[in-house]
Amino acid sequence: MDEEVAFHLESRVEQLVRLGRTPEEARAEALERFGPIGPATQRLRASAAQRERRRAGRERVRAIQRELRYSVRSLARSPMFTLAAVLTLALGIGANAAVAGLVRAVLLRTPPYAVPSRLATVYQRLPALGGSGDRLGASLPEFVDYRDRNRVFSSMAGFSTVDLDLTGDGPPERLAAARVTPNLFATLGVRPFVGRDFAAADGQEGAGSVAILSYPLWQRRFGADPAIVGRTVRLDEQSFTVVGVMPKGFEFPWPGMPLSDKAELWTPLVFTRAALAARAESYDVRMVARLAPGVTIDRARGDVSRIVNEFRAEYPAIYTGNVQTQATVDGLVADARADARPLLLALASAVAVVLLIACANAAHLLLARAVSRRPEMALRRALGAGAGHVIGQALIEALLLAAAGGAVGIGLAIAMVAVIRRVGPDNIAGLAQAHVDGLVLAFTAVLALVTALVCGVVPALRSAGSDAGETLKSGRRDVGGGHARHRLRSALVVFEAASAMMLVVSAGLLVRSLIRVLDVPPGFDPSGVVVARTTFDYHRYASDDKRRTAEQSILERLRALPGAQAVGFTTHLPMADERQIGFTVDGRDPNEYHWAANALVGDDYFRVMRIALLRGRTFGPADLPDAPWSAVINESMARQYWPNGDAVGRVIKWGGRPLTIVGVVGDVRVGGLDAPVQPTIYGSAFQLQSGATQFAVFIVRTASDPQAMLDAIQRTIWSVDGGLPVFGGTTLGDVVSRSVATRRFLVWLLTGFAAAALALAVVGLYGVLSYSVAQRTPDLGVRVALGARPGDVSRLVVRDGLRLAGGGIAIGALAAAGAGAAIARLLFDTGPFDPVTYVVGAAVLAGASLLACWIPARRAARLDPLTALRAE
Amino acid sequence: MAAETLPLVKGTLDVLVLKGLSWGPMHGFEITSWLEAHSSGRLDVDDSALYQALHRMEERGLVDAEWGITENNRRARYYRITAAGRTHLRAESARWVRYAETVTSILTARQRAAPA
Repeated sequence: MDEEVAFHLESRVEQLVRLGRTPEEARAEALERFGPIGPATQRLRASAAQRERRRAGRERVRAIQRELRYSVRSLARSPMFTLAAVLTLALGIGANAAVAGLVRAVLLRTPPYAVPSRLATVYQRLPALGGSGDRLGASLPEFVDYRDRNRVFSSMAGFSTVDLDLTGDGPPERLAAARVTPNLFATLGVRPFVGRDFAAADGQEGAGSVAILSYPLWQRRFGADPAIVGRTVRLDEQSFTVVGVMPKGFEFPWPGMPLSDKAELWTPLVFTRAALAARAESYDVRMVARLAPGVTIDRARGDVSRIVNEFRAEYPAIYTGNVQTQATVDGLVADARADARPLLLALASAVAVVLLIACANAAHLLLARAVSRRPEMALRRALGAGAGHVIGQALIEALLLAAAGGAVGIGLAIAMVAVIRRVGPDNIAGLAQAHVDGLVLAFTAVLALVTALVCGVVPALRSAGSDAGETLKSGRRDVGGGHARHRLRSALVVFEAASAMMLVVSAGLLVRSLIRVLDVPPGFDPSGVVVARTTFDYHRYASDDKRRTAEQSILERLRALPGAQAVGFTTHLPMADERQIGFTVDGRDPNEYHWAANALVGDDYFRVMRIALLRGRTFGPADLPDAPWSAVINESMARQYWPNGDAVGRVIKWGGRPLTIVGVVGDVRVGGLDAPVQPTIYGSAFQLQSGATQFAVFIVRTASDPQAMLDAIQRTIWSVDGGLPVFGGTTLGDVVSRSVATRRFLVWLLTGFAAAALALAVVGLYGVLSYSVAQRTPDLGVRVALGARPGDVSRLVVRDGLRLAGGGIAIGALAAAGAGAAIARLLFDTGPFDPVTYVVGAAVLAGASLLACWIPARRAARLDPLTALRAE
Repeated sequence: MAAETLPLVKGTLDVLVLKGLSWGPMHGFEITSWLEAHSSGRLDVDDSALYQALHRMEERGLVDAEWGITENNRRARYYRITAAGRTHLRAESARWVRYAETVTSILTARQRAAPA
């Protein structure tokens, strides 16, 4: 029966008994007076029960609100504690949120294509060429074979990136573009937002030239012209009809794919008769395909291997020597993330450690607080609050602190991400778009919750476990269990010091690597050198003579500029451009292809760059097209191929052309300071014509202001031909530092996180020591009273502190060895067990720990024995 | 009591209960006792009808209920009049008084009033 009715009947029975009825009579009369319970009553009773449940829910909410209010008030009463805990947690949570933002932008970004997980990239590999033959495209006939013979792709497209000069309607401009097979956008599953997609006919030889614009280009260069479709644009001095504009946010090639300059414009890849005949002569058609339903990457790998084996068997004369082509398939998405993954994993691990240290600190603060509040908790328990209630209260406080820390941390993360976006290296795809979005916020919220549980649960259990009577009776704040609690606190500090040590050593290893990298001689002298680029388009400069004349007159006018100490010219700049050529050595197996970095340079290139001439000569005015073709090679190449030092006078063949080696120059780190030296072949830009000769980098060594000189270079180039695009103006120092930008970025962030970890650990140590000094005041007072000098007392404190720190350093060194091994791939010329780094790391930790000991030690030394004893 | 007078009694019971609660929160049995005391036992109402009225008015938001402890340390559901309940009480009392006055004045008239 309903409790309310039961209560009513009992009350009635009691009333009637008081009036003189027997209990039996009273019960009967009570029931009669209550009357019938009809369906209407029952319905009302059911709805009352429902209201009752709802009310209970509201009551629980109100109880939580009460607890929250209580916690907020109690936290507000100790503002220093609250501030310290919130800031500590904000630092830990904020760093994690920021890195989560980066991970989200870089690793979790999905390409703007339909079902991107079903897209794959197909590569060719030439294993006999080593690393440089690793991720190649295909020649057009090979692409056609893959496209037509595969049984695993529902659609397969090819593309190659190209830079095009856009002229007319404004200043000439250099655009990153891609030539794509007409089915590319269909393969990706994206349609133009205005106009039409490419049609198969657009890829036929002799078809009218058409182009599709990217959304940003349409906005920027054409003012979002609604009538853009049908307009004519001039690309590389040829007319193209715009047929469409791709949607906003569309990107192709997808960042992280090789040669992934984001294209601003696409034109059809035309299958010319000549290109279709040039099997295995180049590898510039990249391949992207959509997997047929049910096909796995593994099966696709097997299928492309089958195809490559087929056509190798069909053309044995082509696939010979070290042209042993293989093929493989990778998921487009996974592939795009491969480069950034180790870097971000290192950062994510580092911030996780920072958060753990922050948790340890917060736990320690909460523990100390739990102790100072034991009388209050004991009182609450004595007044009937259950253990669960007290635990809940402590957890709610931890939750509040973590929530506040999370909120401040989000602010911190937004600021950090904004800074990283600004200063981060631009070669990490997606980094520039990093921001704190809903997913990151959700992650942060979960993180804050976990943080609260991690740092709140132990103090909560402690505060509930105290014996109410004992605590109240003694009036002391710390009775019983003091040793266990002290051990726990010590363990927390050792853990913090060990974590900090691990991070400091890891960061140290990376710093040392960076120093080693920056110590690497680039092979040229970048100081006081500015560079600016242009291109000599084939159509505008149809003849080689015309181009050479223009180049020579620009160089001449540059030499005449006031402040220009030396002037040079190249097609490819070290550390900024990469170009590789295949060559054979005269007199050796003609099928044995080798790979070398290459640039075509002007006469004064080696002088302006200050690259040392070791043997023979550099290029001179006599190296013209009608003279015998000459080449200058670098020292590594000379040593590798002619170890007896007789390279000068030898002949190498490049694309069928014999080049006589006339000189040997010093090594240049073409791929960047941390990349190995490659064999390098220089040709004369004024003698050889090749695909490279349209590129031009003018180099000026000057003592004057770089920007003024860049302006002067632009004016000079335009004084010779106002239709030439001028771009890429910068200093050579910038070019060098950009080549280590990613490494520097990682070092900055990791060092920052290590510093944060160190600071938190020091604060933790300081907290524990001051607390223990406060606890031991009577004990220390006795010692002073018995004649201990201030020095003895402080030594006692310092010894305690250093014992904890020493334990942390030792454990941290072991952990660092593991961490070092994990980041070995990011290190340069530095072993993961580099002793110097470990010693310096230990010294830094020890020094910081001494600092943390100092204030508590001084406080201990100044104890007045009388006051101290009276405190008992 | 006759079946056709029940709606009136029901409505009246609501107002009476609200009146009782306007002095302060009470549990069901307290309300019953209060009604019995103030009507000198002349009102013949089943106890269950009282609970029906209470639950109905709770549904309409005229009263609010929550569990409380009685003087004898027993759990009981205490009812409290809400702001809406007070408004309702004022309006219904006024209406009831007007109605009673009208009916009374007709029933006790000495002569036919002159047509207006």
